[in-house]
Amino acid sequence: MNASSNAMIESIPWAPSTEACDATIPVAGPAKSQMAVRTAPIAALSSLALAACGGGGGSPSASAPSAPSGLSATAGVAQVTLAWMASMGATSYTISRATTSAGPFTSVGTSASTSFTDQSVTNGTAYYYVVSASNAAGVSANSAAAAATPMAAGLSRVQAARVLAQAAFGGAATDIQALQNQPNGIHSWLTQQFAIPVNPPGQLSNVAWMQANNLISVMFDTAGVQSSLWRKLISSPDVLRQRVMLALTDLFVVNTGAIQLTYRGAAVAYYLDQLEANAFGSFKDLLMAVSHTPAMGQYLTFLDSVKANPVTGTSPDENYAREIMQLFSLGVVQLNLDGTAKINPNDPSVALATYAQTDVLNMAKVFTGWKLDATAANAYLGASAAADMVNNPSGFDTTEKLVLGQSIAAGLSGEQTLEAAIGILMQHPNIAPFISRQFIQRLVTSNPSPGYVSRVATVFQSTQGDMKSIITAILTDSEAASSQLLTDPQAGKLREPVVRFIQWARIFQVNFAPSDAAAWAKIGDLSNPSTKLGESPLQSPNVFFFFQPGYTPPQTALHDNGITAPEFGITNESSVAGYMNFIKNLIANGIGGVPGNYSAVQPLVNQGGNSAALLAELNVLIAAGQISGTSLNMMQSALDTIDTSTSEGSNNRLYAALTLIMCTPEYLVQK
Amino acid sequence: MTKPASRREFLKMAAALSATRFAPPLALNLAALGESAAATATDYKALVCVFMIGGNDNFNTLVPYDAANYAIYAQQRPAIATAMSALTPTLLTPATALAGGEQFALAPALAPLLPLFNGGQMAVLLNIGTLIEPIASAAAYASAPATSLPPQLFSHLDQRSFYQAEGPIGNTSGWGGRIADLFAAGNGNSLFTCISPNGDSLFLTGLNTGTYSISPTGGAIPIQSIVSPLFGSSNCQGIMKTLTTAQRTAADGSLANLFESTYAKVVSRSLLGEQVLGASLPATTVTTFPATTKTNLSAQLSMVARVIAARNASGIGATRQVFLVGAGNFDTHNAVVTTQPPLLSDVAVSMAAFYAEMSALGVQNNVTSFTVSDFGRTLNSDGDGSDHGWGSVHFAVGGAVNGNDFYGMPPVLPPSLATAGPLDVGRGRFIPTMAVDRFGATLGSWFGVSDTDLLTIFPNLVNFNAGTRNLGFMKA
Repeated sequence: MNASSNAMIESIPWAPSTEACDATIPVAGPAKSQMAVRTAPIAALSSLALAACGGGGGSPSASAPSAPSGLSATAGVAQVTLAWMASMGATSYTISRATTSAGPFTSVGTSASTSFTDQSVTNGTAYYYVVSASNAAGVSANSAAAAATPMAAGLSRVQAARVLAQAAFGGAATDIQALQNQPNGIHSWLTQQFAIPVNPPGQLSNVAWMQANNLISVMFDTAGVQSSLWRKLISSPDVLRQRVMLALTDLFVVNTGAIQLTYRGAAVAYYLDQLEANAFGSFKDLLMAVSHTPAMGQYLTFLDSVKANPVTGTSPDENYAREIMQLFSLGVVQLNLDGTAKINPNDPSVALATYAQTDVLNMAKVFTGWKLDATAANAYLGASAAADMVNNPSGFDTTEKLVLGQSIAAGLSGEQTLEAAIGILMQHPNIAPFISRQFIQRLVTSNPSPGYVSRVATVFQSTQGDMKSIITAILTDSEAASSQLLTDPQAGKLREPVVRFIQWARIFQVNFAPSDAAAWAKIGDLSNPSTKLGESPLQSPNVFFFFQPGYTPPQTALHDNGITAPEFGITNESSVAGYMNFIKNLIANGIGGVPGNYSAVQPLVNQGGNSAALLAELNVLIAAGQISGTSLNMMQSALDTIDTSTSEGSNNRLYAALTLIMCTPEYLVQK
Repeated sequence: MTKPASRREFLKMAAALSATRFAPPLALNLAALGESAAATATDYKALVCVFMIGGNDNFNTLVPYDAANYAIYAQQRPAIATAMSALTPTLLTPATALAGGEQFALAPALAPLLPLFNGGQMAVLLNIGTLIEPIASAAAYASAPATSLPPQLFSHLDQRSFYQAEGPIGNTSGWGGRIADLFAAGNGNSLFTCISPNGDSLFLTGLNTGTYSISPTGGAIPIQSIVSPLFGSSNCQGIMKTLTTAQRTAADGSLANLFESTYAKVVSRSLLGEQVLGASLPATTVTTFPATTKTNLSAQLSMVARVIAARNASGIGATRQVFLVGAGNFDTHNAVVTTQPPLLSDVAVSMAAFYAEMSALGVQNNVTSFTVSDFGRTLNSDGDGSDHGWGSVHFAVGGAVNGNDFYGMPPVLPPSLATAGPLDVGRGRFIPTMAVDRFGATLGSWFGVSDTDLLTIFPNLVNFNAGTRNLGFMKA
């Protein structure tokens, strides 16, 4: 978004009496002058205007002042700034506003000077202003009207809501407004989000929260750490980090209940903290951090794997060695920079494998000797599960490793070898497109164009996997904001069920206190497909997550057009019913006994005697304005038959509207 | 009865398969189109696939028991070998003894299946796995071109996919679904042909027939806001149905969005299925299924049994059905000694209960269940578990099974830690000697698929001798 679109000045023709001053009053014109207007102090503007027009007439104060002239209305960031020329003898000015040029105008304030800033505005709404002057003798006629549409940073509400659907979990009206208020749209929003420290004030890390709530030393915990994660996902203000962290749990999968560590809750809390801490670092840091966590070490079973023993005949565990290449970095087939598979020149029907079994066997030697850090064990029960694993030289295979055509020298330490191995993965041409495409799929769209993947992958390569740069490249790409993709029949992304739930919880403020562990525990495991979401963080059935990035639902138009749609991997006759029933119950009853807070939209339930305003607002908040007018009209016709004269009826209309919105495919498919 | 497999459908099937590199010549198959005896079936038959997701450890499932092979087994996996004394109660005595005095015992946790083996209702398949063509030896494997090997051997997703599809990952039909394609139109309602209480599956996806997903506990789930007034409003109920099932179109009449369209079709099927099955499904099974502890296999198979019990209900009228149930966590890289037995116990308890239920329904000879998994595992241990292998051991259970016997040959185990066996491609990953295609074709033949159609459904089958394609474990 460039600067020229930031300032929106709309103007209606000046009244004849002020035409002479046009040239000196800043009105709609070239972008540069608009910016000058928006940034110039109001006082300077009004004095400029005054000087240019010579200060107006010289009526004595014995009569009412003349109507103010030269009114200008300048759209700003969630505000409109007005300036006009002084009326001789005026002691006060009254500013009135309407949403149509014909009025009716109602007063929004008074001013003793010749300027006024109206901050009680809704971005995207056109406002018409008039000013009258008054003194002891009376009140003047209204000035000619001037109009402005506040539209901060060039993002409309709908556009801002769309950005938040991609970069966050959607947002409440205040979140949308805050994004609109950013001086440079998503760019400055991203800068702000990147600047929020890990665990911002009031938000404990997962490990600290588990400690504070006496959950860290619970044996075979699953519920405690799950509660901590829901707390973060729903209530932590660093929403971009949370969104990326969720995407990272989709990539670097662990399932708490499948981890065979006594203090697995502590282990997973630490793993989550590591994902958060490195979410805005480099991808190499992420791979290093994840590869040190006991949670991953045990889930993919290289914790306590040791070098081959010629006496007992045991060999190093191959599990993580394979999956770190297959799932966490490279994938199984060689890729072009744009994410498409390389064509095998010898036989196009046979994919070019990224690695062979010998690479797995050599990589398995890298992942030997890793143990829990016994020195951490004294802090509290489970502390060693919540600390980096350490390499025990006696279990580590020090022989040379040949991985992906490169040698890791014999004799290096376990730590040095791990870093070298991950360095080899980082240098592989697959990692940039393989990881970039999956992040795009998680945040923006299921089928990014090869160009989109290529642009992000290029950033991945040029920044050595800098996550901030990658995230920025994904979210600021022209394809992410493309209006064309709103109507492209092949574009879209089925919103992850978990993201739909978090969106509801964030927008409607599930008001659990951050410290209320018992309340957060009530959310629980939402992975039951026939009664809940069919998906839940830390509950993946295996390391391949709930769905795969290359999945296309067979016997569908998506399949026939070669369109990948990962989330359809958990979309079936049973799970759609489960979701629709879950969401209906959630909307009316909340979760864990805590209902949604609908106070922001409740006043709209029967505004103007119908549900149009309610639906319009929910469409923006929930669906980024992506539900068609046709569908909204259908909803309205049904909703308007619900009598809202009782509070129960009012609630029913609200619940029904929200349920319709959150079940309609136009919402479910993020575009 | 109408011919279910139309020429157009079969052409589509053949064309789709020929897009892979595994297709037999098309003309051969198309010549027989419409001649399929299977099409006119009037009796009832069902296949029930029990998927052990993650790659079941076959060497701790069917354990070498004769002294020579047990010694090798114990040497290769010292910390995770099952004690011989624990195996004695489940030693199998097949009708035809293996050559050289070779013996096997079921894992103790599989004891509930022993009566079925002894009673002739369970067959044991030795060294079965994914193959495109026979691979004679480890040496032949080492020099085999990529086109003659299943893609990405030892990789979960790829091998799990190949096991079901007999084509590479990205191949979007499986052999259970392709068999069902031939029969779907012969059912009263084709929606109830391929059914899973374990989510979508490639195995059940044919070219025209898809997975119908049900809940293992609830069966067909009604959508409350469509089957009853939405917060008291029948108008909203009606609009909910319209919005969630309609195919929204653009101004020119084309689909407005393919994702939305696809989603709406799933909702439509959910509603249609629930209307019929919800009304027909018996509330309980005849017999009692014991609860399983680590998986919900018992719930899944009891739900399958209830669906089978409803096969003749109005609106269903099924003559051929294919089911899939599944459970995970079989990827025992570690702690196999503690992790695997409860999983195997769940499999055995559930499959035995399922057979008993089928007997109670009088369809024990009409329903065949069988196990599959991603792959076998290494004989050689990684300490407290085993790693991804290839050939494995599987079971087929039912009254139509030629049970109480072994089928195929076990691999020769490596004579020492330093010396691999002839079929060993490393650490006791054994080249299968029975292809999944042959296994599926044997089941398909029992189901009523013609030999000609089998060659289309199982694209690698043509690479195996015609005389050995049917493994013989099913009664004619």
